[in-house]
Amino acid sequence: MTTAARERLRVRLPVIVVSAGAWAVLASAPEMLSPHVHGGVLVPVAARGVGWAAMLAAMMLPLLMAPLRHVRDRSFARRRPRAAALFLLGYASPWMLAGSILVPSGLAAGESVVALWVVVSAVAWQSSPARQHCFNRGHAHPPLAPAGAGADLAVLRFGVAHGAWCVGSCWAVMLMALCWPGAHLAAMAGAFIWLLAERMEGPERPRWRFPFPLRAVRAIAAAPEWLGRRPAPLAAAETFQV
Amino acid sequence: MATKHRRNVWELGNDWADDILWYARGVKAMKAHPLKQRTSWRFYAAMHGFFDQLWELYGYFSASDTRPPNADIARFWDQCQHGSWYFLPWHRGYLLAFEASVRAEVVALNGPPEWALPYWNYFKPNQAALPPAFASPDWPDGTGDNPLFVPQRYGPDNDGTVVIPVDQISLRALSEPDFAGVSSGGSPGFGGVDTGFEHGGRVHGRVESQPHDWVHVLIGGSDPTDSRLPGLMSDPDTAALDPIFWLHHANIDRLWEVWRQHPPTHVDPTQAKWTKGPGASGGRVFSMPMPDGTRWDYTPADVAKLATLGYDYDDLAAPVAPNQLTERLTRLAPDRVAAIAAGVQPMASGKNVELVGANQQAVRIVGSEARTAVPLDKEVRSKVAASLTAAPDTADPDRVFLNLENVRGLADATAFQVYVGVRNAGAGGPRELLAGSVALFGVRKATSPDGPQAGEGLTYVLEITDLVDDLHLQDGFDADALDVRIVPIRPVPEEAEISIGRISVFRQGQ
Repeated sequence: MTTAARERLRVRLPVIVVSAGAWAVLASAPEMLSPHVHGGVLVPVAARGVGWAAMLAAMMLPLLMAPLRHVRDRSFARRRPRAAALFLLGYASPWMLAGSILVPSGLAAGESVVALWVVVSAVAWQSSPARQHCFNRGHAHPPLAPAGAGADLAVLRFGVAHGAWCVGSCWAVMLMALCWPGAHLAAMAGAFIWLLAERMEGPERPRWRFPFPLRAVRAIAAAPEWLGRRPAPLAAAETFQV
Repeated sequence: MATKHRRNVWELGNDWADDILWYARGVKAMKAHPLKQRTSWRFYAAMHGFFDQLWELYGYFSASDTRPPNADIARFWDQCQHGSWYFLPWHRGYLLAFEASVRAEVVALNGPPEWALPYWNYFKPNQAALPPAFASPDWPDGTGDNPLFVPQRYGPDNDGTVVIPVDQISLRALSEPDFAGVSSGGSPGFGGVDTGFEHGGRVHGRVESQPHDWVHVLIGGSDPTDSRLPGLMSDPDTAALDPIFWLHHANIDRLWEVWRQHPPTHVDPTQAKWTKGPGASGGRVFSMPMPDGTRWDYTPADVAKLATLGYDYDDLAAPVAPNQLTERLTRLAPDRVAAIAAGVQPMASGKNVELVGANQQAVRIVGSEARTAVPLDKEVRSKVAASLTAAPDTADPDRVFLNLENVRGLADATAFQVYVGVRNAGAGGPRELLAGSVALFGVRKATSPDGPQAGEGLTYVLEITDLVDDLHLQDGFDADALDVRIVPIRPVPEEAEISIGRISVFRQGQ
């Protein structure tokens, strides 16, 4: 394992643990988000908020490896946990705001013909240059002030900006995940896999196109070779020596 | 099949020796092919990078050109690996395929089938000038249209004269013990940082930064009337249009082999992620069109061993003393020279990378100098000092690196020297050390909001271990701050918009 891979692991492990915990919570209490009437009683707004936060932790945390590494790498060692917490706080704020619109919209769409329009507009947004621009900007890793209040403010600001671009990039997929009251968890899992696959792509020139995550498909296709034997070295290289 | 020999371009016998003359004829033949032809000159250049606006401005692309099919563009173009541990293997395959294409043209013209690409070793005494065949617009018989000449080659002083200033290039990368490095502030490694397919990575490896980037920018320079118009060699999207590109990269390829051989402890990565290349994990595959119409897909493992590739270099001598660690330990503990084993082997770099200090604000580079101070954290600084004090026993002292983070700008031809010093340096008085040189090859792309770095620029890493050792020997590394002075090789105009987001110091050790 390279030193860089070891550094990646230091961020990956806690993120995976927290995300898995959030999935467990959602699996054990799926009613937190799905039906807005549960057992004849309206699910309180606060409970929905907790459910939405759990959904973010489950689905979005694993997408934050790169920015969390940036925060970790560029902060003093003793400030790393604090910096990561502030980044996450900043990141969650635009998403919580977006949730106040997305959650009711998604749940409403789940029970009406509006669902069709949700799907159409989600696909249209996913294909738009504006979404690609948001996705691209989500790769920005700005300079961070190292100490004092400036350092706190810098990571908080980074979190808010990253969260805002992430909302722009992912809101349509998250809305889709909310539209299936009967199969909420399965819809979330599908959306999560899509977002992970999408994240494997790099920035692209913004233009109209549906961003099918080809790299993930290629990775799956290449898995047998990756797991199995090494490719025969030089077999291809010899072709040009003839 | 007989081994091909890549020879020093300055030692071929004369300015237009056969290897150069046939190179020129091969280049001319490739240039005659249309853009859409896979083995044409421009198709090969676009595999390194394509930027339609610059190509059009310089006359390499026009509305009348038929672009290749989209599938060819997606597979072959914009493929070069920078800021990645694939930098060396990708360029080796690129060179091999290009050389095979030139050779095919040479053979078609009844030239020697053993023709091989020469290399330009600007480090050798009296060989720092551009080889004359590339500097003249004429063929040796005095007629024009020499295909090795390009007008957009402005040189270090932007006056069209290309002589690499030998005091500005360095082979310090050859003493780097590890091939793979980190992007977290420590050593980026000899060959680069562990990444996936990376067409414009944030942190360049040591040999990529210096001499690779630096020589690119010194050759290319920029249009004297507009610093945002780079010489061909100064921008990754135009660099391979200049025929000297290939001789420069043959030299970088040669340095990879020099590093591997001196000392034998230098080894390439063994991780499958490197040996199998990015294609094995879903990334783009390294892919080259070959002159016989086939396509060559390759991995780093395919090109790692020079001896199996059918070519060699006429000079693989080590130009620097290999064992830097012994020297360093001896300097840190001169009274214990005898106790330090003579055969201390270079160790892999420490696994922990940690911020020691950073400035608070961005630095703009305008004119002929910029300055800032980097405050150092007392606690982490003490950790470095403790590591240096214990070095004779542990043989594992910290290494220290200066990072220029988030370097942004519009002029790739910008290059500057970075000096680091301390004001309150005790009895020795103020001192300053050249930390290294930085050339902004690739910065325009990295500054674009929709580019690979989302507009946040590139990060450069320079080792300042020697300076810190000196400070430690003098007063136990008791400096509150390091002064950093940036000195561009040419004054930087406002419109270049060059800035450094943060300047920081990192330790790497246990």
